[in-house]
Amino acid sequence: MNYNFKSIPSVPSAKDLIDTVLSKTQRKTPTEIHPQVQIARIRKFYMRKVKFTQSTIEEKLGEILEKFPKLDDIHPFYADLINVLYDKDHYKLALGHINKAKSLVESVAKDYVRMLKYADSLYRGKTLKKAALGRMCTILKKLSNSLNYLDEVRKHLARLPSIDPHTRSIIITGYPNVGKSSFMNNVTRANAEVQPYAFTTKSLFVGHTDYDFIPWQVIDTPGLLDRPIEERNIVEMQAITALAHINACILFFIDISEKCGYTVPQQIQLFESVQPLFTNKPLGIIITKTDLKRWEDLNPEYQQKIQEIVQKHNAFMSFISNENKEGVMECRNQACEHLKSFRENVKTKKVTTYGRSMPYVSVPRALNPSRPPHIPDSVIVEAQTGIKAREGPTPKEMQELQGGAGVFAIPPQAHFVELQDDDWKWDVMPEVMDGKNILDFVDPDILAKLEELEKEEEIQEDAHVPLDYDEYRDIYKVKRKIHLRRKRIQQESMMAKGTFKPKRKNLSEVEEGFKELGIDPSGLKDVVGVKRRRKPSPEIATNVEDFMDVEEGDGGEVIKKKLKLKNKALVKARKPGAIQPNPSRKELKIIGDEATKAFYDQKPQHIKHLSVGKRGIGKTDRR
Amino acid sequence: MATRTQFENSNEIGVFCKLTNAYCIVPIGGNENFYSVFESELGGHIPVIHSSIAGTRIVGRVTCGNSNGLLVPSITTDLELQTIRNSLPDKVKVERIDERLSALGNCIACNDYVAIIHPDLDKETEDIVADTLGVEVFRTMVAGNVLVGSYCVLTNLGGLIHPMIAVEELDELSSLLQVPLCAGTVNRGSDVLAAGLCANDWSAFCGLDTTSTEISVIENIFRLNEVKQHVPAQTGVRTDLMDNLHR
Repeated sequence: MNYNFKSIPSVPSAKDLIDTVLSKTQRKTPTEIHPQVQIARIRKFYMRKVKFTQSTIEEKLGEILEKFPKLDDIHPFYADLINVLYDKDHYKLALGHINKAKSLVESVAKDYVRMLKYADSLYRGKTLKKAALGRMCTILKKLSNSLNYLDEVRKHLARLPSIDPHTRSIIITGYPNVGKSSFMNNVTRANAEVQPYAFTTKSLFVGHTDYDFIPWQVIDTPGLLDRPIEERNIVEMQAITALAHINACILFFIDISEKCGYTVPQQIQLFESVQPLFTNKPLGIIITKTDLKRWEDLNPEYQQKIQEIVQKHNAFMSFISNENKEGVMECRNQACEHLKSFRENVKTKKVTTYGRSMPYVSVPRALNPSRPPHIPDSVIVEAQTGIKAREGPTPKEMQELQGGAGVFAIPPQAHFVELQDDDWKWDVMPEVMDGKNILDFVDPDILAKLEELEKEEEIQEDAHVPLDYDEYRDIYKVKRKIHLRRKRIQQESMMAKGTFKPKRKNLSEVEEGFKELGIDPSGLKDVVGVKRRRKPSPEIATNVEDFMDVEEGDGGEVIKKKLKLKNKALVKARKPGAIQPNPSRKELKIIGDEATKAFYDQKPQHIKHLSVGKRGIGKTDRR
Repeated sequence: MATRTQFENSNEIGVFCKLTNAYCIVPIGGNENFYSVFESELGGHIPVIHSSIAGTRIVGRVTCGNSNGLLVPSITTDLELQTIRNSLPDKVKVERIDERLSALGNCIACNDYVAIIHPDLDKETEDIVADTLGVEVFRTMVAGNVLVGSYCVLTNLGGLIHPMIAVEELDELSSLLQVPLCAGTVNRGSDVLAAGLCANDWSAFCGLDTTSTEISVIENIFRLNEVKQHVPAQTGVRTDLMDNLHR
């Protein structure tokens, strides 16, 4: 996020805003309308004006709302700084006021547009428009105070130093007049004002210095006095904000010459009271004005106190003199190095903790001892000895050896284990037999049942003595006799009643009967006559004879002759009176009475224009 | 150790295999690469078998099982059922369930002692699960999802759950299942854990996209690196576990 508040556009005063909006409406909407025109057009004309004004106001106010930083979205350093400088509540109230005005204008426009729909004359429309614009302007006029305040804020924000809260920064702090600004002037080109009185620096200043080929941001803060935070003024509070929110190397300046007007114990006391702001930040205790009083000349008691502080906060100590620039660069380098290693540490730490961290693990209060894992012993042995339990080529290697993917396949039978009889493994079993799904009839006790059945059969077989052929024949004869006898009795009774109708028999049956009765049936044929048979047609007879003759020839001759004969047969067949071809459908239809004759396949000629595809323009109703 | 693998260019390997402590089922396919990965890790310990379910290869999603049994959906053909029965050891009961929600793997998550099931499963199915798999059955949801089987992977030593699960829900589930649980992802942030991961008490297989961070979570929660120190009937003390898990 960019914290360049210079880009905020200026906020117009309420009067200017009203002027801009109204003149824009005048310029950008049609201005001429006559009472004679349609009322709908008149209504539209005024509605357009009202709506345009509303949208212009909304646009202007929206721009203000959008461009001002939202305190909840920006870096806490800037949020706090804005709070300190302009009072958060006041700032939010002003923006809220503008937002409210925006929605008020919107509702006014909506109301008047609704009323304009019912305007019955030009005059009525004009009055309504006037009222609408008037009310909108009143709302804007009421914004006057907020707009003025926001413009002031904008002007001040634009003058704030552009501090990047995320970059490498060094913050200088300490009592007033200890040489903070002088130090900054020495290490950067900021050219801050230096005067021999307290609170020369009234706001934050930023300078940039280069170390290790990268820029470093140096922030000069106003001096701090040792007093509770409620009593601190705006100038001090800016320094506190910077110390609290910016992750920087903090340089605490102590003037051991006491020329600043504060004793060394006072300065140490100040450090103690503000040090909560320095926790988890690299810290340097800088002893200044060494040209006026050397460290060695300092009261040993104070020396020890300062040393203790340095020890306690893991700080570095540096001695500088801004007057003759002694130790200034060394101090800066030390601070930069400190900050660099600190930032590196933070970053690498983050990475390592991320890599090793385990998400939240929920462990039940008591693990159930009756629920051990099921790990085969072979797995443990393999893990401990490192010897693979599995031997031989992997299935993939086997696949490569035996024809590759798509050719090689492991049959499902290969996986079969614990079969009752290992010979069954490769048995072929049909899925469906006689239209029945075999597995529907699977019976786990099938073997026992089969055995039982076989036993039963055996017993039956033992008891059974088969009949021989002669016995069968005798039995058959008796049966036959019984049958014939019964039949005769039946027939005799029917004859007596006169209902007997002898079945018509063909010659062979009669002959059979004669034979049975012991009569010679040879004369029978002449009496009854031969069986009627179709006479062979003369052509076919000759053909057959011809064919028979040719059969005796050989090779190609035979085929040629065959073809000739066939052609001959066809020619004969075409002759009138020979084989008649079946009449075609057309012929069938023509055959018949002339009166009932129908022209199925001919289109009627006399109404040709109805049946032909040509048609004139617009004559699509019939063709 | 967790092994990264792929099934025909798909990282969702949990869809295509069913891994338990007593057997592993992989689909019948044109290529033996996938099968080879499982066979080389598990071969010699447990049977790794080929089978399709209802002619499909998504065996992991439609079946559910543990070392006591295997449940297959009603759409399984007779021949497949017969093949599976013949290929698995006799102590594993194989049961075909007549259940409307036929993707049993998505609806049931279980280890050898406890199972959580989809809230809409039939009462009969619940009974069959309890009997066949020999587990305690709970109807529950995981992070607002009814497909409990898709969003968690359980073994006897630990469980990985949908990443959006609330801490309270996680605690509740872990006391229900009596195994340590943690939220996690596979395949570079996929929350469908059972699709990207299959695990048993000593091995785990995950999709090729799984990051090393995800792998380390998987190995820690399923305690895959402790097989070496494993003593039969060891159950683990809470403090020791906490020490291991919260490094």
